Amino acid sequence: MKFRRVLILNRGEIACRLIQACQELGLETVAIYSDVDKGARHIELADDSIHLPGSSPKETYLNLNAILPAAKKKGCDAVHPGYGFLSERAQAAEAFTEAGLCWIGPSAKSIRMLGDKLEAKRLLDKYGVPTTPWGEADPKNGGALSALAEKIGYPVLLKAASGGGGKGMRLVKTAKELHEAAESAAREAQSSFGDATLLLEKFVEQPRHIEIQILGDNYGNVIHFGERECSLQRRHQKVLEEAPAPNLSQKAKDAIAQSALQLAQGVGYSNAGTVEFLVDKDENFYFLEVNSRLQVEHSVTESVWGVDLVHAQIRIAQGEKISALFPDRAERKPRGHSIQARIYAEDASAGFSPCPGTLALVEWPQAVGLRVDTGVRTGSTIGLDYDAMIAKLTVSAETRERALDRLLWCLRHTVIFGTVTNINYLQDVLTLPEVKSGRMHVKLLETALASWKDSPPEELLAQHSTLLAGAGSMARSASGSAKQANPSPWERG
Amino acid sequence: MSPKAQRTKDKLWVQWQGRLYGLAADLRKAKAAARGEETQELVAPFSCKVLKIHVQAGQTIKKGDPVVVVEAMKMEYAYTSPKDGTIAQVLACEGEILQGGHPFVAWKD
Repeated sequence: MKFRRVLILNRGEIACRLIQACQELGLETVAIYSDVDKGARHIELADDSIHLPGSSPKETYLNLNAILPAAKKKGCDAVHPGYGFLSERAQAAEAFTEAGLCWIGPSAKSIRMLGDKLEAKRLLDKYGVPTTPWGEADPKNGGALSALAEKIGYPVLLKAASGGGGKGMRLVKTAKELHEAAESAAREAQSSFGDATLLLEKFVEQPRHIEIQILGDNYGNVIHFGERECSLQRRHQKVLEEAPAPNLSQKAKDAIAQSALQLAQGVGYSNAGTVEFLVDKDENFYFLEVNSRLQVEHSVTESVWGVDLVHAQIRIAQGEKISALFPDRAERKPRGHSIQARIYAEDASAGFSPCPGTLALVEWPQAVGLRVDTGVRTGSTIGLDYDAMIAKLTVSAETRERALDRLLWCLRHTVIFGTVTNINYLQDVLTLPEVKSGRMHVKLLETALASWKDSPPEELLAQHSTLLAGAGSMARSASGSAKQANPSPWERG
Repeated sequence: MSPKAQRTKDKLWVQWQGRLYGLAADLRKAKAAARGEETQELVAPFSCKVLKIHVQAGQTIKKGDPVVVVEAMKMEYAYTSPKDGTIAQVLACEGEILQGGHPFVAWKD
């Protein structure tokens, strides 16, 4: 069954990327947009659009009650949720499906099952996926809690069963900290998620973050497209992602991928998903979580495996089989190396605080081996209502060393004026010895660049007056485009 | 690579040897900022919700002491004192939504 009109349930770069894929497959697209996204690039690309009054995510991109009837009215027969927003809400997947729109993503059942940490942990034992030793923690039963912690062995980690984002999470290094930490974590879990249930697990020191891209069809067939290394993070958010993973044995890669497949096959997973693992320095690996959706960093997998994951998602949702889409999967191997950098409007020297503002000038490099995913251009405004990501730069090269050089070159030839970005910070990340040698772990950036500062050089300040005299003003150099809803033509997306 | 520059209101944006800088258009201010003499004010840099206030009126605090914790875009940001001084008045309360530029506290001279 071929779709006719696909609702694009997202905004920004991912909405643009989804629209391109749909249109290439001959499908019409309907975009949605909030007040502040009027004139955004994804609206222009789409064949039709729906305006959602308001700006907050709740009034707009999360507003199922407004989106669903409007999409029906526009004649949509499928919906792609992208990442974030409603993409991992089982309730949304259900509501669209019941209304007759095919959900281009995993089923509501899979999303629900894998989204609950306790339920997921039980599934892991069932399907033989390694996980850190763990147990349910009851702060009220001190004796049992101590016994569980002793059995698991310190250091241990307390986690909210229905939580995320570090809330209700405590690292406990010794027995005497345990009870107070459990009580405080339970309080935080209760207030943040309305559920005080905790679980206690072994804490893995300085792990790497390795994740496996999986793809299943509606007939129980699941394949994987290898691993991504995503250890370079700040505030629990990924900054640079790459494929394949450096300094990881083929044996470990195969074992991790096999575990991800076992889990996916076990639960009958369909469409695209990612199984995340922590890997210690001895290459032991432990399940972290499943992201039941397309991942921000899917581009590096597409690059080294030569696939289009969004095309695959759509065709699988239309009922095609994996064997028809990738008849040569067994012979395929990743080729070369790919790295993605996320460009954010944020101040890396001030705790990565967001820097909203209007982009006075945006120029991407025209470069060999570069892919730019973005939803903004000169004149666009980065607001506070949504994520502060400006773009993703993905480079591909024959080797990892070449890819690192290429990404650095591209960052040095990118111009974004009008707000502070992490572009200088990313350049310094790329030159860290641990990054060059590929020996990274999830706490690396927090320690190696803990007190990162970025003062302008003396020679630059010495030229301040000359530069100021010769500087174009926003109105002049962008010929007033900042004031228009639809600024200068899209150039090098 | 020759430098590229553009002016917006009170800022001079420059691409200099592959790196990007947003300098104050006023040279004196740009130099002060480069020397690390940050502004002595303590204001909300963007619209945010105040989660926690660590100080009260009349309290004497040191540079680096925690002052407020705010939330924007589902993330928490902690702000510390830029200088030694005494708080004259706290200008925000916990739970309040502030606009960018709103001061957190007033200092006693």
